[in-house]
Amino acid sequence: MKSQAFKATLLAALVALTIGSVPTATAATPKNQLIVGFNMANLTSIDPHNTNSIESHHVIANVYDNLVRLDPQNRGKLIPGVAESWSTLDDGTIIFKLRKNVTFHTGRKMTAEDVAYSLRRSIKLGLLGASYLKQWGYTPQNVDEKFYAKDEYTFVLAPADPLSPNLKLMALTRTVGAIVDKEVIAKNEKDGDMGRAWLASHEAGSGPYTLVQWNPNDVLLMTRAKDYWGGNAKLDRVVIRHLPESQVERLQLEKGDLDVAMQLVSADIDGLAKNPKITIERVLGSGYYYLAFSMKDPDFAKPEVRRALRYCIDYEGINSGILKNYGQVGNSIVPKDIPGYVPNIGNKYDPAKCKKDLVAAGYPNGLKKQLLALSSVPYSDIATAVQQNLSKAGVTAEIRTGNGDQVYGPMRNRQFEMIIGRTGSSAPTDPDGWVRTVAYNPDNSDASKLSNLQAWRESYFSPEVNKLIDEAGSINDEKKRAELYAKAVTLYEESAPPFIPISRFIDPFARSSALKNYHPSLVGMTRWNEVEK
Amino acid sequence: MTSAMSAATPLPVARSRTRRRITRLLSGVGSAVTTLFMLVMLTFVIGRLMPVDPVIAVIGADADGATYAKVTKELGLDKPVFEQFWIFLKHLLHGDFGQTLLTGRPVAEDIARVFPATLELATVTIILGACVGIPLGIYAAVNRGRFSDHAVRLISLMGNSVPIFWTGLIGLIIFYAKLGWVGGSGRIDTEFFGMVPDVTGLMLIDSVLAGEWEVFGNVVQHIALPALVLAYCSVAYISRMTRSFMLEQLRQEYIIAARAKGVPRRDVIWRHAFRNIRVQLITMVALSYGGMLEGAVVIETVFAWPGFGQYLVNALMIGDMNVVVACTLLIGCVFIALNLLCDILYRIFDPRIS
Repeated sequence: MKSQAFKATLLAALVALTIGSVPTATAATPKNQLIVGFNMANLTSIDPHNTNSIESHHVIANVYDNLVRLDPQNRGKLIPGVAESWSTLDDGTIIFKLRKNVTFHTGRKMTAEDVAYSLRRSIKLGLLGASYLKQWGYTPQNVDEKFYAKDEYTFVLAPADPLSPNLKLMALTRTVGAIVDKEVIAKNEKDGDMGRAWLASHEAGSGPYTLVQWNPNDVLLMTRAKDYWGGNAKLDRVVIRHLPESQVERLQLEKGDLDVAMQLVSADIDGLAKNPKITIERVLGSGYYYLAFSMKDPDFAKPEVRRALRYCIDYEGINSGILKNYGQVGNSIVPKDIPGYVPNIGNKYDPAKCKKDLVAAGYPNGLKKQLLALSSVPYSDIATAVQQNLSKAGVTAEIRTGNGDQVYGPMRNRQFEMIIGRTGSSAPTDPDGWVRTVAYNPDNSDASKLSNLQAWRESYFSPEVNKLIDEAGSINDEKKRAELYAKAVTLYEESAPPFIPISRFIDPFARSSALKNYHPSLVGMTRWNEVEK
Repeated sequence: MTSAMSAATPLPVARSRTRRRITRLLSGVGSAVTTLFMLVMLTFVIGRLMPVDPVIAVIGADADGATYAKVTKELGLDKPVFEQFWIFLKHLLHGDFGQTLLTGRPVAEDIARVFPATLELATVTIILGACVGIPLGIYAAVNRGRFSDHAVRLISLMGNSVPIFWTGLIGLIIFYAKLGWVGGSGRIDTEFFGMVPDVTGLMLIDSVLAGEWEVFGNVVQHIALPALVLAYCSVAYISRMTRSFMLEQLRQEYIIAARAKGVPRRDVIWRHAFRNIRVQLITMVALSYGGMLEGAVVIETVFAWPGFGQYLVNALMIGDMNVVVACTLLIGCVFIALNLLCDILYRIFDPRIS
């Protein structure tokens, strides 16, 4: 027996010795690299003109250049990109003067022809980014004459509607404004697809980093581009790692194996906030989590029903519970920090009034409706909370969850009853970006298929609101514009709209406090070329 | 005459045995091909019936009608389902699984990247699981009703009932974050990316081939914990089954007779009882290994292991049927190969099977 016990002890000691002799895992990220972690499941394409996933933006912002960019340190201010200057004519034409020292990663000089080609591309192919430009009246038929190169280094953007050039400049700061190397694309074109297949997993940019390798749902590597016009990136390499579990991300960040951790769950953000070596950044978003009704539904077509239901939602409860760290209460379609904000209008939680008003509207036995929501967090959780809130007034919401196509598809086809969703804005610091996104609908017919407009999806149509938005969008006097948007907001909110903003979203992330010059972008287009350790 | 006859008899016997073997081999191949064909057809048809629009997944819901029609044509989705299946089969026979819907990459390339990751993890796991689980099960069986038997059963119960997600996370907290004995998530540390040429896709082997021992050490650190966590579940299953197989044998009369004859205990266990459960063990371990090769989605998620399971699940979520069909086919091939391997091992270990 003694001999057996001795053997067992010896074996255990050997095992411990073997494990102990293996060097310990790396305790700090390499000095010359930035290691970023997030769930890469939504990083499915890095075509700048054909993506709306925030995960892709991180890559595109560093691989491509735009004519103009949003200053991350001065909310709403435009700063030059590859356009060293720009001017606007009275008719709304914008003339961009390009820098002469911009080269693509192939070494070829960027010209105005590349800019024209890039901006036409999304519209001609009907790509995801096209909605940013289509809203200003650009179509596949008119882009060739509206976007053109005046000379090698002068690009002209002619207007297709009377709206302010500033709004168009804002749209150009997004991924749809990224400039691609037309010659690289020509080499990889297939059946005239303008590189649609190829560019989804390759790059043709001129940004401070070049793409080296991308294994979907595993790792993405970028290295510093040579001779970048804005000065070479401070760090040699950026590595993005697929980390689908928030707790694992937190462990890696605390252990020093990660510099930036995104998409953390609220509990992990709270936990990391206590660590002095970690900094939590909270980027105030440019849109809302919302509850929307379809006014095609005969019950929701009645303003008194929509008005009553607005009292049912526990806005504070949802924001402090489900959306802790990820949202703040929003009362109306324009938030406090944006011109055009109207105080004391919009949301109010009063469940007793909700029930009473619903009875008065002719629904003593409540209603039964379907509520669509994405199956991911936080949409499904918000849907459950809304379901519970509505049930107090006798409204039965049958939740149906699914992926983007299953949930947003019916809304885009105007075939839904209720939905939990999230809006974005092409101009996050301009009131137009907030009001137009939600309230504008110039043609309420099914045939117009304005499926990129939230108001059209809900069948909300107000000529007065449209007129105010159009008027405000076409002038440059900021004070007057703010007044007009405020009027539009008041009119909209008083009409018992089918859009209820529940929470203004926040994009929080955690990073090592040792990182210097980390300036998060408002729209997910954070550049890492200035970051140092 | 008699002697001439006896000399001539083995020839027809040998011929008929060879014929039988060829017939059996052909029937095996025929059955495998039929199974794979049915599998592909079924998966393809289910894929086309799923309420997911692959065109929308490619171009997004905001694209216009012309783009939709163009991409539908490009993907061949405007043709009747049977024609689509025929085209798909033709491509398949040329080794072309098509492209993934979202990234546009060739499916074969993606599978060549993710499958080795799973193969490596599953192989290490099954070796650990079998090497620990089988002796543990035998030990529990021969000590039936004693403390050690109860202990093994408790280990088995815990392995089967504790969620693997939790075990993985706790393992990471203790062995990675606190003790620093193992690497974090993924197959390798960031600084080693790209240091070893991709020959087999199995990093343990590739690092040895390249003579990069530091990389090899790092790969061991990274694979150790997910393999141990998975192996724990595997040990739980294998030890429980082995115990039950052994108990059945130990009750047999030939064992009682052997004991009565005074055969040493060790010989009774290993030379008599164990020999008779080898075929069952082969089946069980092979099935377990096959299950792991399908991908361990939860462990792959916790450890950010870029494996087959996550790849397949992601494809299912968006209705990427090229990927789903290719993966189903691969799983089918894996099981057919394992069946073949089992057949060979049965013949080696069971003298009754000629």
